Amino acid sequence: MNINFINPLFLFGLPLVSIPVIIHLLTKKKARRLPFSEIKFIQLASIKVVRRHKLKELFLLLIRMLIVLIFILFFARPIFYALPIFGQGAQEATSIIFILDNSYSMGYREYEDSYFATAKKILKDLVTKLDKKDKAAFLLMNSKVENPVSYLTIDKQILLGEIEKCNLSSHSTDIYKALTKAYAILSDSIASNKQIVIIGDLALHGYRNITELGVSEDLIKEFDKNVKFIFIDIAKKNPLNTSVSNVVIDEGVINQPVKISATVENHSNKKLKNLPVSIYINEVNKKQNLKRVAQSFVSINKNASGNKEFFYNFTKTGIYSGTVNIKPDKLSIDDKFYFKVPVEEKINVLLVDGAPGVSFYNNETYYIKLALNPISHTGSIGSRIATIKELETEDLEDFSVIILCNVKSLKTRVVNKLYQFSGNGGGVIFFCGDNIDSKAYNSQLNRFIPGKLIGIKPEKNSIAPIKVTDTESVHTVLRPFVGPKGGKLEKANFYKYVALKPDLKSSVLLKFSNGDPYLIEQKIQTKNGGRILFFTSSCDKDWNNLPAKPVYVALVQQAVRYVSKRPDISKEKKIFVGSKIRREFSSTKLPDSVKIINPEEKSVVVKPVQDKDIYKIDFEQLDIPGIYEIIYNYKNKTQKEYLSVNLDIASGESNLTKIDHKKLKKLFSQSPVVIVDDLDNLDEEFLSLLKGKELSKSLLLFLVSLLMLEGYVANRRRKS
Amino acid sequence: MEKKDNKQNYLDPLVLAKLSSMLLRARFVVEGFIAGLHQSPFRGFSLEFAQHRPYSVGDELKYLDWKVYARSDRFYIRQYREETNLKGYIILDASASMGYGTRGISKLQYGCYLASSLAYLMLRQQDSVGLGTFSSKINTYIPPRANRGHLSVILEELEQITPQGETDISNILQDLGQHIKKRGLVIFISDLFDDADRVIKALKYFRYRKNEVIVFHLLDPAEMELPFSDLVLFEDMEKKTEIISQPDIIRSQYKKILADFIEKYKLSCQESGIDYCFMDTSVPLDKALGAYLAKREMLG
Repeated sequence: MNINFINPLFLFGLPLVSIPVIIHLLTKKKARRLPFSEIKFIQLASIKVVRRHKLKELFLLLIRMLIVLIFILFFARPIFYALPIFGQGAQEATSIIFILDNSYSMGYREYEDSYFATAKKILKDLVTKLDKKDKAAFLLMNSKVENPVSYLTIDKQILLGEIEKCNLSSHSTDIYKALTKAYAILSDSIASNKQIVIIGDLALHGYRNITELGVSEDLIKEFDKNVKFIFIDIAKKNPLNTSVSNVVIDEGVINQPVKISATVENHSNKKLKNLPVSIYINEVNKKQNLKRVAQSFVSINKNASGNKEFFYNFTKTGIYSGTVNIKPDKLSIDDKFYFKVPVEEKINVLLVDGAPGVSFYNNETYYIKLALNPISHTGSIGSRIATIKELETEDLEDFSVIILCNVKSLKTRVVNKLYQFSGNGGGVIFFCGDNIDSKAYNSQLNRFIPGKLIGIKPEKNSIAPIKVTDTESVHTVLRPFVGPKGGKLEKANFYKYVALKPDLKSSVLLKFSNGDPYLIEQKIQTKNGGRILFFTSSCDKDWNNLPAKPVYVALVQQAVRYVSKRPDISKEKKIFVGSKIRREFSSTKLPDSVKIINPEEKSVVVKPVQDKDIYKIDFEQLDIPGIYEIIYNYKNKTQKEYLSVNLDIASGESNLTKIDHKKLKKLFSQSPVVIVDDLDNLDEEFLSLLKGKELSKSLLLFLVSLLMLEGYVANRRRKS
Repeated sequence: MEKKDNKQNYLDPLVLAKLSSMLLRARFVVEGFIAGLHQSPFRGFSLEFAQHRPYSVGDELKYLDWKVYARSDRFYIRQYREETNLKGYIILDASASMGYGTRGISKLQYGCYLASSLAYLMLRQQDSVGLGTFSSKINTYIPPRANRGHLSVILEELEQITPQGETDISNILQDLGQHIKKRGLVIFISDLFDDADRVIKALKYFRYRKNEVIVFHLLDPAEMELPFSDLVLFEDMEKKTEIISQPDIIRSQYKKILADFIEKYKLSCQESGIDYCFMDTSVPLDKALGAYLAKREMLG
């Protein structure tokens, strides 16, 4: 708290405050002596009355002294500053950074206007109130750095124009970025008084990166502690909100119920009952005409989330887009979640069992059939088992993939049939076993085998298992096992395998710890040739325990999906507003240009740029939620990709719980902080914070009150 | 004399103070007081004939009036005014605080007039009367006598009395209890500035000894009203202690405390069967005489 005086010379009159004391001392009378019969009762009466009387007298004396003091201060004209003031007080120019929160939570509509519209109006008012000498800059506060006026200017028109132009974003709040920029601007200013004015809903989520990441101290330490903060709180106390935070969709398979799971979050302290949840779907090229295909209701406890599952039967292949909607509330932007579903035919796999058992469980194909469809018959992969003999008569056109499991050898007619199948784009996968005739494979199937089979290793049964080494390959088949969160293939124990010497046309995807290959891909040179994978160990538990591991399912499914040339769904990740997407191209498959069309049909054309051996495009303008269309323009053709982009609900932006004012002050405890939440008197209060508040009017009122009080007390004393 | 025409003048303490001797004062008071009554205040038996009443079984035959029987052939008993045998003990507080007075007469002077008047009145109706004065100790004790000459002894003592010493009422009353062996009427005249509980306890002792007790509580008007202003250094007349106070401020509280003090004596006396008579020294003495006569009548 700081006080300055316009007429400080009047303060020399402060000794006059002692006048009432002097008068009191001068008019004090001497007691006259009086003999009295019994003073006991006088003593008793005095004990009860005199102390109270003396207090009253003292009170009256203080009132009179206060009256003189206020009288002097009134003429000295004090100015009160809620924040510390440097330089020459009110005459001193100020550098101000206005930071406006335009994160999507500011779209909350309490009354007619959204918080953001109200904040803009207030901000414009404040800018017009600035003194001619004052300089100001204007920044926006969201996870994307936006600095409309990133320099200090005295030109109010520039500031007002930029404020008018700025819009509500779909990004989350990030105060840290805005503050860093604001401090950088202020560090160049020579003004004595520097202020940062933050206008927003003061929702707790916006300050998490300060509270939780613990960067506050570092941030404050780096910069000028004299920079003052004024927080203008636009929001009401803890507004209520609900949002659709996630949608998970099973793989889209034609004519099969596809599960769509929606997660709805209740960010309030009230239980939600029977909230309508709807699903809208249509083909992606008809995304403007989404049709409601299902509706249900969900009840959610306070500050909790609820799930709702829907099943939808797609009748045509293709790419579909859709939304999960809940009943719109005061913050409507997060009441919708976008998704896209590629719907494909089922992958039909023919499993050729080279060592059928006496029971189903003893079949060579028992584990692999389970792995292809572990839950039910409704998966995206369908399989059928055939013996080697049945393979001879089977119409292979009905299948996308053929898996040969521990097949000893094949007749020439069947081999030719397989070559034809592969030549037409069909995928073939080999698993080895004790039935394998290496010589027959080397001679008959040399076009499929990615090298030369040497024989079973180890020749004698060995107790010590060997492992598959860590996978660093970026091959599609191995993508589920890459990274710390990927499956751990190296946990499986291998006891036997067929040693293979790979040739130059093949590539080893996985190998054992002794260097021998486990999984090899044979490269077919033909244009439409199918893909071929060769596993050197068994697909059941005879030679290894891999089928008993969860990674087995992922490995088998990923291999089947790869050889069937289906899009790799494992690389699909949730994309949020503000994310950056990168697409890489080899020189052989380099598009001329890439066109990106956002949900508002605005397009951007990007040219791939070379980065060492590859070409790439980076795209960062995912600024609004919705379905984005990416068109790759090659010389002879175009290829399309669709992205569903959603709000970053996980950032907590939809949770509008406000930060406690005391906590906020504590976060910025090294700097002077004022939080203003009375919007009715904001202009006056802002000016008083900026330029101080003259107290003469208040002092005059106080003086009149004191005079009345003095009159009343003195009159009562006289009467008593 | 004009004063004789107006009985109130005889009873006014200020007028009495101007008279030369205590005897004169006593006579003025009593005669003036009696003159204002419609009938004689003296009752009881004496050698003097009073009235006849019809004989009833059990009456002594010696009181039969044979002359009336001779005239009317009916039996009547002759009744006489009784010779008194009431012993009155007047106990007067003569401590320093009794010397306080603001209207030309101190509480002690007023007490003396009251004592002398009562003594005169009692002796006149054949009662015996004694006098005790005290402060911190018993100053004087004159045993009760019924002869006329005894009055001069009492009045002489009252003429010479001066206020001095601290009050110690409770102890003094206990000492006086030793002197009063035959039961009678104890008249206690004081400002009662002592511990009330102890004083009441001592007075109850007299009641325990079958005495009748009348307490005359004397206070000066200034003691009741505290009519001073400005800053005053009060000096206690007995203990010589001092206190500075502003009477204007404490007056209401003082009066409340004093009223509680008086009320306490009044209630305690009432509970103990003691007649309590509050006397402002500006009040005429007839109130005191009236109280005495009422008690005397009750005693028969």
